[in-house]
Amino acid sequence: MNALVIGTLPPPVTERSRGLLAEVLRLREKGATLRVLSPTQNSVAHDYLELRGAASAVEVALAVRKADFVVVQLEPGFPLEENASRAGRAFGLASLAMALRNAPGEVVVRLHSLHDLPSGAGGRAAEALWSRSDRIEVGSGEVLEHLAASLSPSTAGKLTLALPPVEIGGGREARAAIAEVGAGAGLEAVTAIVRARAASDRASILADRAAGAGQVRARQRVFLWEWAPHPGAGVPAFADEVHHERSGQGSTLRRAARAALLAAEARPLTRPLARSARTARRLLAKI
Amino acid sequence: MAMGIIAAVAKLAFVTPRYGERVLGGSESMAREQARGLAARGHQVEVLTTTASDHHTWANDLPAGVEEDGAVTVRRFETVPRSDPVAWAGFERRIFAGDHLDDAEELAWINSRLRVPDLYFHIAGEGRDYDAIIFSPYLFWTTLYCIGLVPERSILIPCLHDEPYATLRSVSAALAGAAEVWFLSEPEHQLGHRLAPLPRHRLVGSAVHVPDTYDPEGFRERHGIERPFVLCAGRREEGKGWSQAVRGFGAAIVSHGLDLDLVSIGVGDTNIPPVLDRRIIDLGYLEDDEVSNAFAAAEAYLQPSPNESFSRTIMESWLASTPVIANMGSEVVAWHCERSGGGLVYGDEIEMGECLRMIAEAPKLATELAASGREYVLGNYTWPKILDGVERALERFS
Repeated sequence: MNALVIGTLPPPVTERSRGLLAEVLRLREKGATLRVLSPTQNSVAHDYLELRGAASAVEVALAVRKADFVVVQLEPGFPLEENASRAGRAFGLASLAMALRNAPGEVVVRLHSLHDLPSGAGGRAAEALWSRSDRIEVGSGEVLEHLAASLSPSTAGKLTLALPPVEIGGGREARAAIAEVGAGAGLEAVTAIVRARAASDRASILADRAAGAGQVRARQRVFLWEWAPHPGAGVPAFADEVHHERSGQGSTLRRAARAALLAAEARPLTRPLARSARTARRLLAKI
Repeated sequence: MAMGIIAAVAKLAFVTPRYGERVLGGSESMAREQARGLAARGHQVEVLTTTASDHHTWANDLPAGVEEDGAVTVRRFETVPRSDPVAWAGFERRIFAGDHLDDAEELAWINSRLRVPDLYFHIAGEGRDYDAIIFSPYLFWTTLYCIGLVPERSILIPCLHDEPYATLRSVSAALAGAAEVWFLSEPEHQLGHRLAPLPRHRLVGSAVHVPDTYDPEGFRERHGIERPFVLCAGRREEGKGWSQAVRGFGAAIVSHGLDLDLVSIGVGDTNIPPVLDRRIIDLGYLEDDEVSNAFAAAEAYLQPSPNESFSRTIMESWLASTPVIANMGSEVVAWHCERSGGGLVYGDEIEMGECLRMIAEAPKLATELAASGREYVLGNYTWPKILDGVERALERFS
């Protein structure tokens, strides 16, 4: 079975991304050949959506054609821009519903929380999306109850509760260890727990900031990390290696284009232009 | 089957971006030797790796799935090689220029080199079936993305170098977030302390196999080498000091009329200047036994790399009773040379030329250096000793 999962896995480590990971692991256990297509750059995925908002439906339509089983997670930024107008919302949902018509097999739509779908689950466009789905997975009993009350009986019959999110990091062990710490606990045991918790906090701060900073252009200072020392001496001339690695690849024209892009990427003023050019190239390659 | 020092059998996984007999690289070789050594002591050992063998392209040139390497089970997962080399190279330049990458850019740099989503899913789903998961080296998606999945069972053998990558925040997070960090040398351990608040950690070291015999004469005959030579082994890359070695060797020939050739073994383009093409001999990739013979046949081993966390090759050289000339830019190699008394270190190309001259003109000195080096390796860095330490470290996980 070729399964396509569209949604954000960790990082960032959130309940929603961990929930989708549980779905991925379930499909993997069933022996599915998996492809994950993520709307969030740098989350774990085989590929990323290049377009945002309603336009991403074009990429979805192309991707679902060969999948026997499709899981689509509705989440902030996909398929709707976070500040989508009412018309934008209708257009985004309708586009996604239309894109999913290309899927030859079963389609599961996931909605972790009601907040992930601005203006609620009702409306004609949303109804089109629900009717295209074979199953609607929701993140909690509360969401399930709410949707069951607001959707038509035939759509409500498709509602199921999603698998519990995958435990990532040392949460389970740390909780068990803390439960066993008593008055006579050794300093080493306590320190180990503090360190493990701090490490977990640190990793999630970093991952969340990284994933959330995708749209933020301003440079951020992370005070937690200020102790990280500056690189030492002995910097090798790495540019030579990049050159060596690239030499001989592609035509002269391609090499010139690459060099021009690299030069544009190096300058803040031309960087956005270089990035747009790269996005367009990747998109064209997909089509 | 050799018996280990602990009774309980541990189920272990090694996570490394490349794995295989023909994969060249210090950390990759160390991971393979350790995995095979622990499997030979009766532990259940799996290696979780990629289908790539080339660390430039990360192309999927090996089959995905399960295979056996002796008693070790190898699971290979397909890579998604970088789709946007321009962006990657841009980040790379900024890192080396000392520019601060924001968190998203840092993650983009890691993720755009290669990614292995199916490996992530394997560890997310089955990570807790292993008693311990050993990640190495520090600088790849396979470590930086996956080590946080099951941190209480994760051991990091970072193979740190003092280089700009090491100061990335995600590297600090990985170091701080593992259950244990194992270092290969004291300078690497000190570097670790400068980079992150370390969790439980220890100096485990690494090792090399001691060959039963050497065949230096046969090596010379097989490769048509008649003149005395210094050997340079490993990846021919800028970061491994290859260009500096070529420049220093060329200068030594001109300045001192040095009667030595330079023999290079390993992978990568040598880019030998035409003026030196009669004095530098490229033998390319050699099988392990022949590598040992090359070390034995050489007058000295030249280690120009400033980026070493252990340096197996200097150990192999000393074992073959060949003295070492090494770049003191690598704190680790300088530390080994000082502790062993088995090598000369240089600070620049001029000093390198003088070291080569010293070896050529003072054969007794060369013999003494080599003898000290061999004693040092046999006393500290053989696999039985190292695996004993590894097993003791694993006791708390099994």
